[in-house]
Amino acid sequence: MHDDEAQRRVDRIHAFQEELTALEREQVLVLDQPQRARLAAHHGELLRSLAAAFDVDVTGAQKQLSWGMRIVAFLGAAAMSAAVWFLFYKYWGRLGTPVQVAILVTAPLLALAGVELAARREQTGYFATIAALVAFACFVLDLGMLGRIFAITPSQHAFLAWGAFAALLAYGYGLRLLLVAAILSLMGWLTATVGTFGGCYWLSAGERPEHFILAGLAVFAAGFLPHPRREQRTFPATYRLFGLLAVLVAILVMANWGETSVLPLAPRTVEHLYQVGGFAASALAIWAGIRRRWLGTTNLGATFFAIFLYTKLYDWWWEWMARWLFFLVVGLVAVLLLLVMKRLRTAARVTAP
Amino acid sequence: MKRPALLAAAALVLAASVFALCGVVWNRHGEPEATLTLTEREAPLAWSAPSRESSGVALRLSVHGTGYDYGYKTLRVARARQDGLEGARLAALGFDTALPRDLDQAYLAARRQLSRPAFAAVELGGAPWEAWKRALAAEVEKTEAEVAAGKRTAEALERERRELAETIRDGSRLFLVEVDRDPEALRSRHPDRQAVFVAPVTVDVHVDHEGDDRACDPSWCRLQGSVSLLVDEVNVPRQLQGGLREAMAAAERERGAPGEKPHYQVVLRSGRRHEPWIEAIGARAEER
Repeated sequence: MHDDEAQRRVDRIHAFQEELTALEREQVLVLDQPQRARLAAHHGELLRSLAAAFDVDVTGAQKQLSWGMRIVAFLGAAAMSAAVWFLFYKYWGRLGTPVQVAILVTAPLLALAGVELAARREQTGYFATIAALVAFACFVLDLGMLGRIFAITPSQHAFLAWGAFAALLAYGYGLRLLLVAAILSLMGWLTATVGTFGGCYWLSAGERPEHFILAGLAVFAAGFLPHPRREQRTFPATYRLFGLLAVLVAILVMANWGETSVLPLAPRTVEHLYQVGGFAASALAIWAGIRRRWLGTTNLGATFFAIFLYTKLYDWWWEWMARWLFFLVVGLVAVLLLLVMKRLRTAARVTAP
Repeated sequence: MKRPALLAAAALVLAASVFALCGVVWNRHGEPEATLTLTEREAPLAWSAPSRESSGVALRLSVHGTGYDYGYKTLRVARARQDGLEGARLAALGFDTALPRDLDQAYLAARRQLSRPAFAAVELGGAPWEAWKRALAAEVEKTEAEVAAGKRTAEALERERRELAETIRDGSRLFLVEVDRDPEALRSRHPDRQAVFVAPVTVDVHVDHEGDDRACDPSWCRLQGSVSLLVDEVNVPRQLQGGLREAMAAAERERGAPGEKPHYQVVLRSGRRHEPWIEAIGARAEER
């Protein structure tokens, strides 16, 4: 058993206790006192042992606190990374070149030792996440500053190195935040590299959103790779979420600014194509999300479907409609969307096993 | 899984850093590709540093015809000299130079072309500098004629003369002279390694259009290239900062005095990968 399974067992116990209380109130199933005492003792012992062995939340307050801890860990990691950057920037001009190089190369190695130490001392991974993100920031600083110190011509391949580094830490220690860093770095590298095939400068490749669609699809496809290890159970969903986000954002940009496309068509034609494509892609995401039970994919699809719809409503009606009427229509459309989603939800409930 | 991942990550840090440093050694190994002696005119203190949050010191390469110095006056004079980056030169860099007849479509065609990497020959002084001075002097003469005809005021003429004097005294003498995909071809056409260095650049295109006509006729509407240095700031290592500090302290003491520039000279080198570095910095020097 691992943390996720232990948490699901805890959740099942709580759900069972609530349902049992309801059944007793409705006089459907009433346990006698010895049975109830035995059940309570068993559940109590089980919860205590699970809490001792795994990082689980056995009360609602603990669950809320866990979310708070995740947010604090993220903010702490971002702040520590910024501190490392600013510390180096503050003093680097006063150091000789060999000392600068030595610091830049050893800082990520020291931070890696910190990751290992944090992972050994504390099982929840919060402190390992902070140390790992600091290590990542140190490595970015390393290659970035080597480039600045020695006036090295910038290259997109640095993103490949950063992405590989973050991926190693993400897979080695089961750190989702580092997987996000890896996905963003690798998408940057892929986008830039695809762009250079056409002869453009790698930094300009980002000006053509189609390049992001290719990278997004590649990342989405990575979600289908097997992730058998328990600490990597959330990784496929992360791949799907960020891959889909890249695709939908790129489509949204081209649906509104057609001249950014690589397609040799008039900007208005490109915009119309991508508007249709945006509705189709987000509807497909909702459908696939419901069918395969990918909650994040469904939510992201629904969000972008609404965004595509509202940007179209704005294009059609903002100029000639009275403001009160425009917002009334927007509100009514929201109600309509809710009704459609409710029907979908009901249908999903009926087809569920 | 943890230990192999940790070791692989550490190996990656070392490999990437060593790879970057090997590139630096390769660039600086052997005879420099170019060695130029610049002054504060061509290599002023970079805007980015030093500051309260960054102690790094860098010099900015100020090159006529690239992003930083592509101001109105430069553009006007460059156009007058017919030395713009356009036509066949842009086509050789991979740009599609055929523009639609409709002006809006022409602008769209230009915007849709992404910047491309290339190399530029950058010359210190020499013929471009002399031509530049002559072009500026011609501008002043034109203003003199306009003043004589009553089209402009004497104040405008005085301002133009002052600008000319300041440009000749303080302005950069580095000029972009040619752009090509092949750095070796550039070097073969500009063999003077003491006066010309070859630098990696990016080239962007825009429509250069004169007049009010909405049609894009090739005689007044054409695709024009603009060039940006990929490396436009060069780090000053700590051991060379002393000379720079002394020169800047002297500048502070002399602030406002006429003819104050340049305060220092910089020996700039570039290597096999056309990446520059500062070899030496000294106090005020003889100008070329």
